[in-house]
Amino acid sequence: MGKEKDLLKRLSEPTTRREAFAEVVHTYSRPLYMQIRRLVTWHEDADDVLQNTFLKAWSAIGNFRGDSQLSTWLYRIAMNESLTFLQKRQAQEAVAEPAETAAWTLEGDPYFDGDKAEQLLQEAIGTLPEKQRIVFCMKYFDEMKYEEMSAVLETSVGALKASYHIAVKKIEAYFQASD
Amino acid sequence: MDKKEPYSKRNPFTVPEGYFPQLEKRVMRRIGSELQAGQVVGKGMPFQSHPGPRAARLPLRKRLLPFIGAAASIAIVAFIAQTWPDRGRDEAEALQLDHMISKEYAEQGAESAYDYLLLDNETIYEYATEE
Repeated sequence: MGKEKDLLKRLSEPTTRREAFAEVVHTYSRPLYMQIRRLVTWHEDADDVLQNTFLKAWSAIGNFRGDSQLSTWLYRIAMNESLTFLQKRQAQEAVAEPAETAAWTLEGDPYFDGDKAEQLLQEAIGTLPEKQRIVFCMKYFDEMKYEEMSAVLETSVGALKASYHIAVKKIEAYFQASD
Repeated sequence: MDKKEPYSKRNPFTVPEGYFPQLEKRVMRRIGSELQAGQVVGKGMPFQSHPGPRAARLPLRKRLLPFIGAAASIAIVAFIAQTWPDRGRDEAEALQLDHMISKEYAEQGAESAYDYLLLDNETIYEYATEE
């Protein structure tokens, strides 16, 4: 029996569910955190979104039938939670420029050790609309295939390609403008 | 950027020391507290198969309230169903009784009238002159 299959079996049993879910949290907390952190920038926000992701996963685990991989399913929840968070934050920070906010945060953030170029890239990513930001991070940093991204984001491959292309153009323009 | 990829793909983000072990504990603690509270977060959640704790926290009176309401409704319906034909029968019997009494009084009145008519003149005068 494969490791994931065994884990899914234990997740489906009420008596072993909690113990198995602790294993899920242990296995996926790091990769999910890094995905979320790239999108929301700040550690405190990434922490909140990640906890919400696991709580949502726990509350819906009874419905998970293994149609997709567990990692894909968790990834999808994390992206939805991040998107919801970014939309709320954008509404709250409608007055401030996103790049200004990101730069200010990264300069004073003790949990960011990037150089000037990496900081500039994060600023550029911060200027993208939420969905483009997610697509860009999944493709550029995680090197995910469009088909995998399509499964996670439930969006067509064509739409994802177009979104990534536009995001890249915007980031390039941001770098050119900052030279 | 697709071809050149001039920018670092290194992850520049770090976390506080001991963050992940603490996170695991916090998540599992929150799940544990939600299980104890029996919170309903979403459809198909594991808590649905354990509704006991939430129900047990309600006072007995509140837990029995739906059953009391249902029992009262059934009792009212049963009472109406049982008494409705009797009430009809009672009304019929009452009407019949009224009719009998009326008839009796009518007969008595006629008899009194007959008695009165059968009195002779002397007796009538006696009644008339009595103080």
